[in-house]
Order: sequence, then C-alpha cells, then structure tokens
Amino acid sequence: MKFKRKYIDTDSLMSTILVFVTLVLLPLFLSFNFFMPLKNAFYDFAMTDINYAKLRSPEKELADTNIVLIDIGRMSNSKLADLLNILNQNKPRVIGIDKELRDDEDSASNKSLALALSNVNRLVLSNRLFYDKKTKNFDSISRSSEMFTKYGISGFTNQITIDDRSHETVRTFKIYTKVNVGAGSQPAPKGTGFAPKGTGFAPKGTGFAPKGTGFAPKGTDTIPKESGTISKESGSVQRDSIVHPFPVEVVHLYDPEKVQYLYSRNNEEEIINFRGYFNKYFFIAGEQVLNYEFNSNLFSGKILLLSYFDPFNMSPLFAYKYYSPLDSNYTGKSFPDMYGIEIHANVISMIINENYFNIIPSWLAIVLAFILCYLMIISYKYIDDKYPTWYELLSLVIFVIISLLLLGANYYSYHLLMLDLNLNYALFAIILASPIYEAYTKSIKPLLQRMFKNKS
Amino acid sequence: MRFFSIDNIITTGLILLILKFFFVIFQVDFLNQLNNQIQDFQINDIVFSRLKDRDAVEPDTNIVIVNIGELKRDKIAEQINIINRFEPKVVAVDVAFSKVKGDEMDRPLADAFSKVKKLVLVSRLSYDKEKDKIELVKSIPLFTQYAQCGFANFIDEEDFRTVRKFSPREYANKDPVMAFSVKVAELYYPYAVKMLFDRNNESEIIYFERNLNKYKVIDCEEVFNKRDSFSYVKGKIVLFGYLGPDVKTLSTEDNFYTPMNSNYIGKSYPDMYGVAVHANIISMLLNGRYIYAMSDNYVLILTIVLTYLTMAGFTYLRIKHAEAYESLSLVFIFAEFALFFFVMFSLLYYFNYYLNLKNMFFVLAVSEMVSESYFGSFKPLTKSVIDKIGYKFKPAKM
Repeated sequence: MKFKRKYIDTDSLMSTILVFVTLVLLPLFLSFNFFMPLKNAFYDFAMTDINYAKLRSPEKELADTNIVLIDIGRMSNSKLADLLNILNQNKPRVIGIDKELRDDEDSASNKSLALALSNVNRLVLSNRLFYDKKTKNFDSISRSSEMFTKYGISGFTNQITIDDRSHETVRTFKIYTKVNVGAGSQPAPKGTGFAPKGTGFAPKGTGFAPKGTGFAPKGTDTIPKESGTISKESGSVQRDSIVHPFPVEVVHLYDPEKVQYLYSRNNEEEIINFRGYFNKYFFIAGEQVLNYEFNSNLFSGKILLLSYFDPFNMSPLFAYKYYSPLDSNYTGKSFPDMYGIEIHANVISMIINENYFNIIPSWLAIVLAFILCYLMIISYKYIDDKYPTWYELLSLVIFVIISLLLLGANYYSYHLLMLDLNLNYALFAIILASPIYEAYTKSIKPLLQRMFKNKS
Repeated sequence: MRFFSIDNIITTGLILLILKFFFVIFQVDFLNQLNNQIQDFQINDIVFSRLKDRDAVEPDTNIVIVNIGELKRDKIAEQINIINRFEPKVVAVDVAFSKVKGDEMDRPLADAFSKVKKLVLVSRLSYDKEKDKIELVKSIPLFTQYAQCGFANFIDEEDFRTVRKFSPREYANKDPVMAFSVKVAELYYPYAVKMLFDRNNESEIIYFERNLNKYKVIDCEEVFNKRDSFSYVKGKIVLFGYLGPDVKTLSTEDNFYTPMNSNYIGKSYPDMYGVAVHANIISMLLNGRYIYAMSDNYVLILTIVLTYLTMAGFTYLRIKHAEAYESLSLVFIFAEFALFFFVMFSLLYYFNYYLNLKNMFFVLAVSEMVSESYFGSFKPLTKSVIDKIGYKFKPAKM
C-alpha cells in the first residue's frame, strides 16, 4: 500500500487506462463502410517509412553484386530457351524465373524451352497462391505447365502477406505459408520431390529438410512437403502443404545455411531490409544477353532473376508493380514504385547478407507505450497541480518534445540498430494523453464522485 | 455571460491565425508529402466514393469510347475509318500527335481525319515560366487542318492529385481556347455549351457519375474483329483514347484519381482514364447536371462565423457547466463533426450543392485546445503581467 501511495498515482493510472480503452474503441468507430479507406490509410501508415523515403541517403547503400536482374519482357518460349542456354553456359549459381511458363506455343518451342530448363542446375520457378476470403485459406496454386516445372522447384510470388491487398505497402514477407485445399484433393504426383537435383540439400524424396534440424518453420510439426504440385487449372493441390516464397527458394539453392539461419530466427514474417531499386543490383535486358552484349564474368556464380521488368518505362502496367517503403510519397496517393522482381532481389540480398531487422514484439511495444503514456500524464498532473496557469502551454511543449524524441528514436533504432521499435502504439497514446487526462480529472472523476456521493 | 465577448473574439482570431500559419510546418521536406495528402483530401469525395449508388446510374448512350491501345498511327487511322463508316455525329481523339512520324504513319491518319465531318483533336496548355505565359501545344498541322482543337488539361492533375474540376475556357496568347470536352459538346449540342458559359464560372466541379462500365466501350482489337457491327455509333459522339493495352489491363498512362475512387484517402490505384473523365464532363454538359458551389469568399465568411459560434459554445459550457466542461466540450465537438458531415453530404447528395467546410474540421480539431490554452494560460498570465506592470507604474501617493 505504501509503495502504491508513493509511486502510483490513481488519476494518472485511470487516465492512462482510458487512453488505451479509446485506442481499442477507435478502430471500431472507423469500421463504418464510408470510413474504411480512412481506417486502411491509418493501418498502412508506418513511421519507419519516413526513414526510407525522406531521411535515408540511398546513394550510401552499397550495391549487391551477387544478384543479376534480367528483363525477359514478353519473350516467346523459343527465345527464352536461347536466353537460358546462353546464361547456362556462363555457369550461374541459381536461375530464378518469375513468370508463369505456358506450353501454349508450338511444340518445337515448348520442347526447346523444356530442354533449356532441364540443363539448368539450380532452377526456381514461380507460382501464385490464391486466397479464399470465405475459408481464410490459400486454396489453390497457379503455376507453370508441368512440362517445365519438373526441372526445378517452385516458390510463391505473392508479395503481400495474407491476401493480395495490392494497395498496401510491402514491408514484410511471409517466410512460409500453408495451402489448405478442400476435400477431394489428390496426393502429389510422382517425380515432383521438393529437393532439386544436384543441390545436395536433402535426400531425394525426403522432403524439404530432415526433421529436427531446425529448418522447419515454427509451428509445423511435420516436415514441410513439396509446394503445390499441379497447376490450378487441374484442380488438385496437396492438402495442407507448406509452401515457401520464391526468394527463399532461390536462397535455399544458393546457400542453404542462410535459409536455416532465417528459420532459426523463428519468425513467421520478416521485415524486408530494402537495399534499393534495380540500380543496387546488376541488371541487363534479355535482348542484350541474346546479342552477347555482356561481360563474360557477369553471370558466373551469381543468382539470376528473370522477369518482366522495364525500369525505364514511364508508363508501366500496374500488374507488375508494388508500393514499397522507398517510395518518396510515403503517404497518400501515388503509383506503385517497385517491380516484384526488385522486391525479390531485396529479400534475397537480405537473407544472404543476414541483414535482418528485429522488431519489438507487440506486447512489449504496448507495455512501453503504456509506461510512456503514464509518465506523460504524471508530468501533466504535476504541472496542473503546481503551476495551473502554465499547464496548457507546458503540456503542449511536452507533447512536441516527446513526439520529436519518438521520431528520433525511431530513426536511430531503425537504421543504426536495425531495430523496429514498433512505435505506432506510443504515437497514438501520446496524442490522446492530454485530452483524456483533462476529460478524466476535470469531468469524469468529479461527475462520478458526485454520483456516488448522492447515492450514499 | 454575453454572446459577443472579447474572449470569444480573441479565441476565434487565434484559431484563424493557426489555420493560416499551421501548414507552414509542412514545408519541412519530410512532412511535405503529408501536406500534399491533406491538401488533396476533400471530405465531399465520400459522397461520390461511398454514398452514391453507382449501379443505379443509367448508362449514357450518347457517347461511345474506343480504345486505341498501343496502336501506331496507321492502325488508329484504320480504326477511325471503320468507325466513320457508321456516321457518328462527332469524332474526338484524345491523343496528342505532336511529332511528325513519317509519311507511312502520318498520311493514312491525315486521310482518315479528312473524311470525318466533325473532328476534335486535343491540344495542351503549357505554362512557359521564362516568358510567363500560357502556350497552346497542338498536334502537327497535317492533322489539325481537318479538326477543331480543345485543351485536355484538368485542374489539379499533377502530383497524384484528384481531378475534381475543369476549366471550360482558358486564354493562350490572349486567344480564348475551349476545353476538349466542351468543344465536343458544342459540336454535338451547342445549346448545352451556351448554358455552361451562361453560368459564367471560371471552373466547374465535374459531376462524376460514370466510369467505363456506364459507357459503350469498344476495345482496341474489337474494332478490327467486328468491323461491320458498329451501326449503333450513328449520330453519337465517339471518343478515341487510351484505355490500357486492352481494357482489362490497367496502365499508369493517362490514368487519373477522381472522387469516385473507392479509396478516397490513402494509397490507391487511379480509377479513371483521361478519356473517361472527358466523357463524364460531356455527359454533365449534355444533361445539364451541374454542381453548384459556394464561392471561396462566402466559405471564408461562413468559416469565421462557425468558428465564432464554436468558441462561444465553449465559453458557454465553461461558465454554465464548469464541472462537466471537459466531457461536454468533447461531446460538443463530436456533435459538430456529425452535423457538418450531415449537412455537407446531404447538400451534395440531394441538391448537388458543394459546400466545402474542410477548414471547419481543422478548426474543430484545435478549438478545444485553443480555448483551454486561452482561458487556462494566456488570459491569467497576461492579466498577472498587466497587474504587475500596473503596480509598478502606479503613481506614488502624494
């Protein structure tokens, strides 16, 4: 009791609790249909974006020379086969193709592409997961034709974490997800084992990694199985498959230990440490490769990422681009700024270089926000009691100082300590602190006191 | 307690000063973007975006839109020839042909244009900073000799801003020039444009009602594949413009944000191609469905009056209900918010009247803080300073 009297001020505590109750109730108020965009804008806003967009110097960021981006435009299968043959002669470490390969061209073209793919030692193809809002599951996978997929492994290219909310900023990626197909799904066909030939990563047919190696993601008590096995059109995907994103599959073939480290961090989702746009990697147009206009060392031992990618097009199509935190328009309307393949390159670069961001867990962020809010309200109360005429001015000064400190801490921790302080809770709490303190001490409390007095 | 008091006047003045100078802080580089978003946001957009029932709007059958896709000039010429056979009343092309591309490309297009009875091409108003004047950039004379021109610029089309208004007429080198959509409407139905100019407004708010699903749209390849089945364009306005490589593929080219965007705030894709914006303006002119708006001066006066009433309301609550003041002031603010929303939305929804009380929402956000600061700090502190000075200069007793 003595401790409570000495260190805990009831009014300040009650005001702080009210602040957090308001924080819980406010989103409910914004849930009306016509406030939804406002709610979405709030949710999409992250203080850390200001760091990327305005405070960081992109020119100081070094380029990653392990990755080469190659624009394949809308190449036909035969041209793509020629391109792959040239690339393959230059001994790349991994080739990742972020494009659905279709067998709808003439059979000679399809065969030449299949042959070129079969000659690639470490090949990753892309697939796309489809989310069913009703069942809240990814229930199907769209992928390249089976005549091509059998020569490599596949990773999903959905950038957004749960479903495809294309208007949100891509800040994180899921390191795995589960595909849950309804009844009637068929088992995986033969010959599509996860481990690619020659990678030595896992014995053929055993699945992704041996149980107990720490590689399997948290919460999955079984060995992750092969990613979706048949194209969406055929309608059967393995039930409850664990599937991995395209960049993780690429790194897995490049350096499996890096992926083991990623999974050892035990996060379902990782914040992407963006190095930059295409100019932070090697990039070359497919046509240049076909014309042999490249340095002979450019591809050797590298990760080659092939996709439709046209960074100099001033009027790109929306289908290929996403919003990233690097966009100088960190809030409000703007066109998406980053190609999907650029995001993959950033993720791959982060995993290879083990340049991860850490994030303060939400519960800790809430506790810290609570403490900060409580301390602010205590200081308000002190000023209100001792210097009532200065209260309004000084409370404003305190608010401005704390806001600036939060902004500084956010910047310092994010870019110097690689730590996301998860300050959104604290920011909203300190905005509400003063009005709620005043409402509580000057209205709610006296009214309650009067009510109880009358009753007694 | 008096309604007109020096306290209410001072607090109103303080709020108006804050309103005037607050946005200076957004000049800091990293807050600039936030400022851009605040400036672009209009509460009335919610009416177009969320409240109007778009499905209930009838399609406008007077206008047909043709997608030119990524076609070169010779193929656009072919499109125009195909459509022109069916005798549309006006053909308008929302594409600038400002450079010569050689006879192989240009000649077929010029031939196609020469066969059109009423043809409108776009021009563009361009501000020359050095000469400090507006210039008109037109297509090459080979094409313009067969056409009338209208400028395609919208107001606020830059920096990802939302297009809400258009200027019917501008002056380039002191010569009056009409907007593209106005010129089209004039050729189709001159009386509609007379009504527009009778309104004598420098700019008009666009009555956005329809996107591509409410106009007849012919996709790029469809023109060639169904070349004999466009009899429905007879006597109609046909607008040629860019709607992506095909209508289903969304492109960033000539694509704008409008109040019909379902995300009226925050990140979103643009929702309407330029040619569809022109179609909306033409529909508005032909149907005479204008939006009426209060002039900026009247809005300013109304804002001052409402600010004063708000501050007087706070003073009343402070004096008459001192104990419950904090809670009641919060209720008062929310009630005003709700009232303004209701009035603005109702006026626009039912009476096509655009009342822009955006500043009042800012006033409400800071009003309580200003009132508290004034009565809690400024006034007592000023009084004590004056008292002290008064005491100091009090003449000594003789």
